[in-house]
Amino acid sequence: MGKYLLKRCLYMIPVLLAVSVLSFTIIQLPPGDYMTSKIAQLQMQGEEASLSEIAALRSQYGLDRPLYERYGMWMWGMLHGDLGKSFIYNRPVSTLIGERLALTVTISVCSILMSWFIAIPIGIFSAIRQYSPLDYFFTFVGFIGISIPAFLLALLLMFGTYELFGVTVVGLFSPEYAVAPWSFGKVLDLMKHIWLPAFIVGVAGTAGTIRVMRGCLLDELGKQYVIAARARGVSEVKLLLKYPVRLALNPMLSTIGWILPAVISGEVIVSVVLNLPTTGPLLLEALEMQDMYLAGSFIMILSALTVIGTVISDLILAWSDPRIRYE
Amino acid sequence: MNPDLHASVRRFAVSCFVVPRSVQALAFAVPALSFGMTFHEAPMLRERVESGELPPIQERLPDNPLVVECFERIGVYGGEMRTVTPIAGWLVEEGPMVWEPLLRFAPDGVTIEPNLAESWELSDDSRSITIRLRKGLRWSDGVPVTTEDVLFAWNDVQLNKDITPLPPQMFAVDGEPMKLEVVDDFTFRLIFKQPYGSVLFALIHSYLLQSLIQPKHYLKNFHAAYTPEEELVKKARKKGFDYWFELFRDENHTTRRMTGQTPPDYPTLGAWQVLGEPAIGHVMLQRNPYYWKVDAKGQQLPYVDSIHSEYVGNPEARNLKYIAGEVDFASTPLENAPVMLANRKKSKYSVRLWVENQGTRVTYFFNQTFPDPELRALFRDLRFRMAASLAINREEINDILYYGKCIPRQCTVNRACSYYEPEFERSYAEFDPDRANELLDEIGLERKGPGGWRHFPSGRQVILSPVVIEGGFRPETTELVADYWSTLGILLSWRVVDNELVYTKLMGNQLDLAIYPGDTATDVGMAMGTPLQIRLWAPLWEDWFMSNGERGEEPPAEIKDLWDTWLLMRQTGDREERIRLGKKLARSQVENLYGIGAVGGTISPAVVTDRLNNVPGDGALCGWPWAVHVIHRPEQWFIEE
Repeated sequence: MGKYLLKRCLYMIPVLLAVSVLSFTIIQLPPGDYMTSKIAQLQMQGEEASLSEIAALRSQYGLDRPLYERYGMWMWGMLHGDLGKSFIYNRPVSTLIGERLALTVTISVCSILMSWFIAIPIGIFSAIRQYSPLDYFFTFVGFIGISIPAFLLALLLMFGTYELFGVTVVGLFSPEYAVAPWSFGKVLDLMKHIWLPAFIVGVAGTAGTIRVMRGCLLDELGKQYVIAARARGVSEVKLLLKYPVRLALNPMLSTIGWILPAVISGEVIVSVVLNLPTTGPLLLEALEMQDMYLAGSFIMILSALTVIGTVISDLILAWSDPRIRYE
Repeated sequence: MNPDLHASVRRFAVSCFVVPRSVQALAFAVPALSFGMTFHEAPMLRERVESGELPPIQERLPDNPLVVECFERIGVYGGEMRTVTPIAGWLVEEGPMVWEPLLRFAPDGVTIEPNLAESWELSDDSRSITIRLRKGLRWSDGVPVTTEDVLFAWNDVQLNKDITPLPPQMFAVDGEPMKLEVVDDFTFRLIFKQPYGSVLFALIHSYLLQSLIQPKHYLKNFHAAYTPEEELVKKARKKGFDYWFELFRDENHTTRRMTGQTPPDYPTLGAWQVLGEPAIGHVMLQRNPYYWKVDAKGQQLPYVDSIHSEYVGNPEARNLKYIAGEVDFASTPLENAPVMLANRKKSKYSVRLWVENQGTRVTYFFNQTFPDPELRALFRDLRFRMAASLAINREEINDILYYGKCIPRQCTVNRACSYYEPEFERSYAEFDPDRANELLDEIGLERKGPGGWRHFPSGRQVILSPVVIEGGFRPETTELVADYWSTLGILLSWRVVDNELVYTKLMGNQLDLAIYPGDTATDVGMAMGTPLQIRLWAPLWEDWFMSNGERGEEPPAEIKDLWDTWLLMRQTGDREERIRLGKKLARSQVENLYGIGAVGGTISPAVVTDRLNNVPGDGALCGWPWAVHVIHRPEQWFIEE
């Protein structure tokens, strides 16, 4: 086990290196750089750009140096723990990500938990009561959940809550609490607002999980050992939960590692629509403006988390399913 | 009589009747003189005076504060204005509410008024201008403003090659920057090698890019001429920079920046200053206790205590906030007008229909220096451009896209401009597809094939492939225009791409057809930048002019004449002469159709909550380079529930 873990860790290094080269290059692929993005943006606002500042900043930020030099500067900084500075905000990348991390993780964890607590029981129910009216109902709702894009759902709900309740669910706090320091009232206000993004992000995931649970469980329930156990008089509930559900959870456990980066990046499009102060919109802005350090460092963090998460996934899978073992 | 005496009597007589320019300048200042006024301040400032934190109001205002006429009525102090900003890390309010120009426009958009400068005098030969600052003017931290700040801004910042690699263009004539002469603590003079009458426009327009007043007391701590360089390099390294001037640039927030926003406590001359960012995406601004404007009753402006600006990146989320009445002031695109109007009674706001200052909002510029020889020759043929213009049904575009409320016209200066003539608007603006087809037949573009598309004599089909930027009705207008030109047999194969990509193509002379607003539509728009937006319709000719013949392509004689006319227009200090030359330029545009436009006088709706007063109503002018808020005087807006 230890040797296996070490091997996996060593494999991570070339993967991350390749990801860093790829992501850095792709971010720079569109013609132009942050300066041209900013100039174009200023023009759209009807303003002008200072040619002098453009020239000065281009050389100051090394935008006129060749690609490999810029990559080298960035990698060197990363190895020293310096993720670089964002052009958009003119602040260190680590600060920008750090100040948004807590809220991002909160929302992500809420949506994931919500998604599981709803999806797993429904999935189990759907499997054991296959083709019942409730099964059809949940299937229908599930497919609607998968087919409506999350951002559309967000827009509809935003407008719906305004029309019905007169409340604008833009952002995570009401105007009174937005700039106030943390207090019990602010936490309550957060709870009042957080259900919407958690629900929207959760809904899409819920539908998928229900279908996977249902499908895998149906597979298992048809197997010989289940029939044998039933014949021996094992109670239905114990029968269900001891093996089939554990096995049906395998696909979910094997992808659990990918939750790690998702938790950090949050759901980008929904966050943009709802104007949440999370890391998702930060990444989108950075990519749109070719803010290379913010975008590059962020993607590196996500990739590292994905790779680490995959290793964790494999370990969890090996622990939960004794049939899987590695030399 | 002695001939010398005769001459001097004649000179004296002439000078009595010809009003010198300094008197003209004073004429604007006279109504604004505030001798003998008692001053009042906002309650929140009075508290700070009583606690000893701030000096009393008389000591905070300059000797001659600017008196601002309120648009509706005298206001009351207090309240917090809520706004939104669409771009991350970018305060839309920063331009209008934190910085101030030396001179500004009156609400008519044409008359020039004093602002930071109390008065000015342009010399008779227009080669120099003497400017007098207000005595007693102070930065937002209380330090007095003097010509030291101007000298610092020019000599130590603008002319310093490390800090400013490119010479400041608005204060240079013929490539040579001006000379700055300090007369006394509050008076300075700008001296140019050649006449530069349009320097007045530069003084209004340049404050966001090349400010002539920068806080020396604050910035000298980061400048190698005043602080030992080793100390600065240490500070620079801590921030991740290598050189002292990189640190300086990072610390200098006296202009609109490409990165980041003004930090709190940075000395400013605007009505409000940045207080800080208490939560992600929320920026607070608070009144500047040393603001140097008062209303007619002597109350120090601004009325509004603070501004709360929230970053909302998604346009639909912004719209939701507008219709809920949660934003006190915002500009919104015309396509949202129906939704905004529908909700205004319920959410207690009004929609002001302001008018944009562009000649035409969507303008088509054929690239006369496009690399492809056949297309280039076609674009240079005036008959082709005439045909393209005549085929556009402007009434229809106005009805479909602009609710029939804007003005179908040719791309030219707008009605408020001094160079406007009614016939300019009508030039080739009638809808005459038959005549257009005749013109194309004359050129020799034959219709061939099942579609009846026109082909070059070489047999190649005439296809234009512009790239279009999203928004501003550009895609919609282009769709309609493509339809109109298809009746001419010209195929317009257009697609929407990212804004930055279009800009890059433009810079690389790769656009056959540039689609942009017609910006040279005002007095100041015509004087700034380049003549008639030549970069959009002849990048290589512009290159030739800008590089003095070293790069680009040599333009034909009439374009050189155009450029010379433009230079003369900028140089002359004589208003009549400037108008004559401006009209000549405008006439050249509408006769030669460098840019072809469809609808102008376009409306830019502004959402204003009922509690915010003194905001201009329908028909007010807006848009850069009038710097919307400088005309709209946000310092005299007030909140009354």
